[in-house]
Amino acid sequence: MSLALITRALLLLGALGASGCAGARVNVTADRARYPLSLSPVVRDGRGRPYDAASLVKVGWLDVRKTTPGFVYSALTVPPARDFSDEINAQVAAAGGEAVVGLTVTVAGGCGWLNGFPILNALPVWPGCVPVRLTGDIVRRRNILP
Amino acid sequence: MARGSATALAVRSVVLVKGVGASLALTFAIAIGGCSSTSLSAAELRVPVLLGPIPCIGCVAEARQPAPMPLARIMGRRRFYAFFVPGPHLGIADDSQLGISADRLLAWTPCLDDLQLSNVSAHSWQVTVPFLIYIYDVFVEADATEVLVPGASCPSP
Repeated sequence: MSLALITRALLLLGALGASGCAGARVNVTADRARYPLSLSPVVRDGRGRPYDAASLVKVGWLDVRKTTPGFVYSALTVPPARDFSDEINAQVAAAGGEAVVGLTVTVAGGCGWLNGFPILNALPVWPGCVPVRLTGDIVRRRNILP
Repeated sequence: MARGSATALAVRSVVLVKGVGASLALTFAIAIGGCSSTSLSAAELRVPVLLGPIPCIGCVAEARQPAPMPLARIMGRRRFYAFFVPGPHLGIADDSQLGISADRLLAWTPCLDDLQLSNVSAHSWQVTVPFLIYIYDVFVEADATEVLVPGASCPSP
């Protein structure tokens, strides 16, 4: 076997031995939200009447971010669920809104450097993470006095 | 002694060349992978797609009766690959599921019903084989259940 071939084989074995995986998985909840949250631009009132952009006025912008760590190659996330209720309730109340529409759940960048850190992410104790961001329009019904 | 030195120098040179290329691949992959993102939204649907217990403005938390339609699993996903090819070359691939969105999957929902999301989960993970392969994956998924809305009306045209 030539030296070059042996070198390549050793490098390959070393690379495979140092392979790793890191990340996290989290459940996204809003179980204590006091306002309706709609991913579409439409929300109803108590009588079932739909309201959309023509009958809603935007009074604020919802933006909540939480990053959750994970271990053991993303199998263990601490905590396993993230509740965004408190932040949502506070922001909607501060804006004087009645609902959130156009809600978007985003897994953003920012954890790539941690999840993909070479060699160290082969260790099960090396942390990964998942950054979650909730955004949307805080709205209230047009021509409805607070 | 001279031959051993020459061999050692040759080995170091080979490692250096590959190391430079692999370092660039490593830096580039981590940088690009860290910029990958995906999202779950329903911007084009004309019915409420609800997250949480409150079904409407001024309402209290309640569980609505599901409509007799199948449960749908919706997802937004972005997967990024980078692999180092001896040469040195860098291969990059981006695998994003186009067309599989909540808007297209749930466009059939009647305007008298709402959609209730549950089991919303977000994932981010990366597999790394140093100097060879990098796979970065992010996705958001949820269950969407069509629910009946008592006294509902459709938007005016």
